[in-house]
Amino acid sequence: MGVRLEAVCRRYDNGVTALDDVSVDLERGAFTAIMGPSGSGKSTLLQCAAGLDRPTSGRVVLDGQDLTGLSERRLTLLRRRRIGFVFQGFNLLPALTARQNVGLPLRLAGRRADPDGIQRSLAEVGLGERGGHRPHELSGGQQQRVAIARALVARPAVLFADEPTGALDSASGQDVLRLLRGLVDEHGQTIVMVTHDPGAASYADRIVTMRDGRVAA
Amino acid sequence: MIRIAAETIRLRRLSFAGTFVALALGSALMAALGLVLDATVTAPGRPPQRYSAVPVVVAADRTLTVATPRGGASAPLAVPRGVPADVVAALPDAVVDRVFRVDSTADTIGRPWSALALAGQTLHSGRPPATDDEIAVEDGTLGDRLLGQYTIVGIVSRGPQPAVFFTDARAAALSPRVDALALTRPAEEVRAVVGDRALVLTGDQRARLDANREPDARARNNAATIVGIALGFAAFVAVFVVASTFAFAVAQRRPEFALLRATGATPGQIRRMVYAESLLVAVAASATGVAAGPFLAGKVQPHLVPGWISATSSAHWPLWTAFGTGVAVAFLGALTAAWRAGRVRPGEALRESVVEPRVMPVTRWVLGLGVLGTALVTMAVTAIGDPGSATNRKTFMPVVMLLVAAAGLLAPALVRPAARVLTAPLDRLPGASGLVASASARASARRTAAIAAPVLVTVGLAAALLTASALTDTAKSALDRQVARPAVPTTVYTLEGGTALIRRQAAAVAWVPDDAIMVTRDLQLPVGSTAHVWLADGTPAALRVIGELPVGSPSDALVGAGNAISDISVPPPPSNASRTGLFIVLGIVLGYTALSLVNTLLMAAPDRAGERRALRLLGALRSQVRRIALLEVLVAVAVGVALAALCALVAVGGLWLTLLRVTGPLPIAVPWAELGAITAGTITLAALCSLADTKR
Repeated sequence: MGVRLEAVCRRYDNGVTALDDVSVDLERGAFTAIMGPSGSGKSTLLQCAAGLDRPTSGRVVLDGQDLTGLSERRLTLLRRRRIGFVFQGFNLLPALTARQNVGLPLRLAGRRADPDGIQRSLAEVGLGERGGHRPHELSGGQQQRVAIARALVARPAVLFADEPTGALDSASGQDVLRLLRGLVDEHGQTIVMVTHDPGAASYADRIVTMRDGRVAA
Repeated sequence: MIRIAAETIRLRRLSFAGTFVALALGSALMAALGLVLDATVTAPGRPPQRYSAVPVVVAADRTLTVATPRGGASAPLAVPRGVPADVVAALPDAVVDRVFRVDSTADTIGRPWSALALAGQTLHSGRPPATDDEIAVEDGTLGDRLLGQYTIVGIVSRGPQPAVFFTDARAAALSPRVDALALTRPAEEVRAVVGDRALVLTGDQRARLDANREPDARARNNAATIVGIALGFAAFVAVFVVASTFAFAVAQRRPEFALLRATGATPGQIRRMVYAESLLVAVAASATGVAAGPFLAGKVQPHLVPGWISATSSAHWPLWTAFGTGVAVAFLGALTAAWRAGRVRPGEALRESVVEPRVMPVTRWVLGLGVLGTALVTMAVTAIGDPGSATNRKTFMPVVMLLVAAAGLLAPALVRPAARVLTAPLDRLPGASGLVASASARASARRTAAIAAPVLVTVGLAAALLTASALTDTAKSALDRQVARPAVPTTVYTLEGGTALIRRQAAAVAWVPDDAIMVTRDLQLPVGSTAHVWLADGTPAALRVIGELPVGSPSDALVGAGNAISDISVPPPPSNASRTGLFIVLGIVLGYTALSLVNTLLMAAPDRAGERRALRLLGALRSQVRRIALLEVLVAVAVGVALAALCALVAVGGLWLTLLRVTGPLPIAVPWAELGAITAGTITLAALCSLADTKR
């Protein structure tokens, strides 16, 4: 089981309805791309699915766990264990080295930051040699790969990616997408990616298209 | 450019509010202390007290005039001479006043009964003293005995100074010297009779005979010194805080400048924009501060100056000076900042980097090391040339200021190594908080330095000044002990270089023969020579020099007990005045630096928002984010405290070494309680700010 959204609505205080009765099943072990024009609600969908935002109504079930009604604290703890997140803007802590950035989620969870595990994660994204570098010493593609290693280090049930290639040139973007594809094929990682780039979406197993807060397909 | 500058100010409200507040408060403090200083120096003295109810007073000349090869030299006499007997005889209608000490310990003076009305005093109850063993007093019970043999027969109203009234005959027997003649005749008539044999005083001149005359002058002098030091401190701290706040505000906006550069702004345009912004803020802030100056002056004046200086100054110079200084300081702070801003490369707009590559420009190294060198040389010069003056706060405070300034200038370079040492244990903690906090404290050396700077000033000044003042107090009492007790304070006059008559503090002790004297080296009288001096009442004396006093002695000379002529009209000056002043000065500085600490932390807050959001997205609990922020601030505070300790160590260590030559090794009593409180207060403030900031 991956993530299931049941009749999810998300209305903002200003009256905008970002998600309008969305029900979608994001399968386990699959690479799903969510597409749609700006303002179609795809990012809101991702955030609700990942427990970063709360639906106004409806249910989100992640890896068998109902997120509805969980406290902010429980939600954070759950995110820590089950979810990895990759952002368009990388969101690496600039003061930490690549290795320290990757180990950060483990440390936040109060777990021992096992050096071998971190090294393995870095090697998986092809940056085994760059662990001692700070983000500003890495290229954009490399920074995004560090972010992916960081998202994977806690072995999450689902990896969410919000426009992961949005800030990258096309060559680096291809690298990142190939990396994500490989994770699904070789490790059976569940990945949910938001993108507006059809080229990026072509790497996915399944494409969910959003329009005006509804699933179009 | 002005338009863009004004717009930017509106946009980056918080950052500009920070610089505005720092500068406004700094100029308010400078203006206020300037006004208090002006009031202290120019306030009129107290009106006549002792002879307030009588129009004309005849008194002996109160100056000692000595013939010298170049004419004459004169100095005010410590102990007044009496009115010559022929003058007393020539004015039979005058009230004869005598003022004398009745008890060697109390301030109470003795006077003849006829002098009662001279200050408008009246008999309350009982009757005037009629026999040698009867007296009238201000406070007491009729029939009680006082001073052994006297019976209180009258109670009189309160006068300007506690007094005991004897019969005129008894007073003349106790004190043959006639101190003053009080008359109701026209002054011209009296002058015609007296001639130049004595002074004829009228109006405010009568105040010259008051007991509070000299203590008032001394108190005024002390107050002026303390306010002057406070003003110096305020200016120093203002320069420090304002310059660092401006530099920080500009450094914070590097990405913005890079963006402007990328969109086609030339370095010159960026520089002019920073100037324009600084000037707008500086003028507005200085004007606001100066406007608040008179109000603030009214608030602090009663605590800094003697009560009788009640008039507040309406002078304009302190306001203009404070305004000019404020604007100049801000502009100087902006000068380097603008230069740096102009050098921002457009490419930086595209890179996200809080890791500052080079935090110390060469100029800052030069300036920092220069100030440090000046401080050390000053200390060395004092230690070698004039160790006695080291106990003087006026010599010591500038050295401390220089050391703290040097540490502040060199702080960015010191932050990284200091933080590395201090955070080494944090890195080993298993959780994320220690690692993230210590890494960002080290990586953003400039921000850490900006937070550490006010802590450095606060704790450094407090530690150095409090410890040093405890040490100098110990030194002074050690020096006092070297002079055998009991010593009676008195005065001698020496003629310096054959032209200047100098009044010297002296002490009379039993073990120095009456025809001998001991002097400090300053007087340049070799042992065995004869010293021609004048005693406190102006009597010339030729005394054998039998020894040299150690450098830094509280008195310049020791004379025999027979030469102990001390003045009754001067009560001992309050000894804690300069300590109180020190605390007030420290209070002002602490308040200001505390504010600048809050300021810097709040200004830095928005920069951290992105990082905090990223941490939250990574699964950090709110409490973890808060802990990281707190730890980070604490690392910066710890760096500041460590640097402050270093400054205090150098300053106090230097003082101790200097005093070693004067008094031998002294125990160093560090006022841990006060320092602990100040440090704890700083930490609490920093912690509260970081919490308030992460709440949002």
